[in-house]
Amino acid sequence: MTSDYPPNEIAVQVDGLVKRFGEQTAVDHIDLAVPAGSVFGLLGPNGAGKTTIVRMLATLLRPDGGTALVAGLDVVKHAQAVRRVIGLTGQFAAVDEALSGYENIYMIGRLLDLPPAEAKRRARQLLVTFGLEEDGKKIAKQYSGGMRRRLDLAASLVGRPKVLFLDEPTTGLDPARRNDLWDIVRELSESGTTVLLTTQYMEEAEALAQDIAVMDKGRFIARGTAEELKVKVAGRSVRLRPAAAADLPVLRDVLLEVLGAADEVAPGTVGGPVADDTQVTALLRAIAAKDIAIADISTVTASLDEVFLTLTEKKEDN
Amino acid sequence: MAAVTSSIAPTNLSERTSFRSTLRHTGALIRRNLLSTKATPEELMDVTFFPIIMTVMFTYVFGGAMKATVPGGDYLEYLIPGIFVQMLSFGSIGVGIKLNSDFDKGMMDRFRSLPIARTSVLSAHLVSSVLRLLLASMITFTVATCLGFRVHTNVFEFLAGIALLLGLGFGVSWLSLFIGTKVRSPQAVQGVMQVALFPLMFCSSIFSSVQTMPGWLQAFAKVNPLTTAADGARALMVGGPNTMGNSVWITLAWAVGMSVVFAPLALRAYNRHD
Repeated sequence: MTSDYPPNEIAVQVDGLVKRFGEQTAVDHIDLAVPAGSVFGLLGPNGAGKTTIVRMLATLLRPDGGTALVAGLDVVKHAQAVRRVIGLTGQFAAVDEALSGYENIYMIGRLLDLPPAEAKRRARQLLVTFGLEEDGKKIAKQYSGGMRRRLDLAASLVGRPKVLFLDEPTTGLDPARRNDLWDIVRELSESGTTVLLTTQYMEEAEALAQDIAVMDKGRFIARGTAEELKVKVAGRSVRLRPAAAADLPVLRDVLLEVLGAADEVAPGTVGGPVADDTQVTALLRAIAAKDIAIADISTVTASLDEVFLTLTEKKEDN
Repeated sequence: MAAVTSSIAPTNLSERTSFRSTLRHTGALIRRNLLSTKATPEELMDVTFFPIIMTVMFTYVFGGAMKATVPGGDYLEYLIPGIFVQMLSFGSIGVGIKLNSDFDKGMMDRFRSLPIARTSVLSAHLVSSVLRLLLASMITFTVATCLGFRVHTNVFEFLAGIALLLGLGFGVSWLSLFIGTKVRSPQAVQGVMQVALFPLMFCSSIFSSVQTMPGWLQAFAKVNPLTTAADGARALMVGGPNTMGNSVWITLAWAVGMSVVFAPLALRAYNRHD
């Protein structure tokens, strides 16, 4: 995925970024680095500061502190140069409703200095890519929500951006349309585009992003891959059900000894926390030594939704 | 310029947009506005249907009672230059509404994320507005001619009258653009501008002679720019009993003055708008 780029090539580099609106600090000293060609997910509830970060990176909003580099260029000092490598799809599909899909894309092409013939070709090509060729002549007002999103995304790709900002790209889309959009994002990523997306859905961050930052009230409250986040916060646990109910107390003692904790998590089933992979093997060896017949064994990882709730609740407590 | 090491940095690192590019971008955005008007012709209602209704209503409903009070005694000839004033000043509200909805609907975010000069969006709206007013002038002239209006001066003086009022409309457009960057919704632009323009329209010589008004109102009506604009337009389009006096020059001064005051304010507010 990142093979086209030199190792350690960073597409988006943010250090100590701050944005205040009056008394409120919307973005509070954020650091972040997105490797070229990867997908970075900013996950958080409404008002967490995700859109504010995207607006600063897309040169629409001036930071109050810290620095942000896109393609190695400062978003304040080199705003115009940054605009030559980025694409932006905002939270609300920003297409001109009075223009046809074709004219919307053609206009962007002309604004990006494509010659008329090239702008026409690009518009037709993007309409095909996004399955809008049949509705290309219709005005965007007549488009469904999903079509509008696709048109918006198509418009942000006219200039073949190296870095693409997607601000809640699937909010309000039905699951089928959402999956289509996910496929498009994956294809873009495979073709080398760096993507920074914001989302309120853990499932979406998990499906698309290699690296996720969970955001709440202007700060990152956790960072990592989807797997790391799950394990870090809620941990993993193992559950075992002995074939004979009589073995339950013995099994419980084995868990207590190997894992340090054990609990009857369901009738006839005991469970305990797993801190690392070697513990599972050690547990199986210990069970084999006691010669206990096992009817069922599973390891459970918390869902990202649980992780998210745990994280935001923890923050409430502080 | 500091050396940029990133392999994804653009080849063109300039922060400037050339004048030729800006002209091209403005052209693309004017085309956008024209296509938008083509798709939603009801946007032209305020400069087509509204002046026609006013003309017909004032000519046939009030015209009979009013004709004795106007110089020359022909109410239609008195009214039509005033209708041009009304249409070209109220028609300039639209440009602020358009700019405001670009902010409101997120289009401005899209434009601002592109490597174009920020002013091209504003200038495209201004040019489109003038084109819209020119089209509306032609429609108004055609309707007026059908109702029996005749130009009694000459074609040059008539066109000078239209140009003068377009100049005033240009000044009002800057006010509208300023309001458009300051208020929160397109409806608010409409509201603020109408509150400002409606009293000016009725307390002027557009529909009735200032001499028929009570003294205190005359004082206001005489300095009202829409009065001087209507008087100037009448002198240029109809002539005869409608003498020019200083009205043309005062109107021109208003047109230039409004642009000089509101253009910098609008540009400043526009450039600072997130």
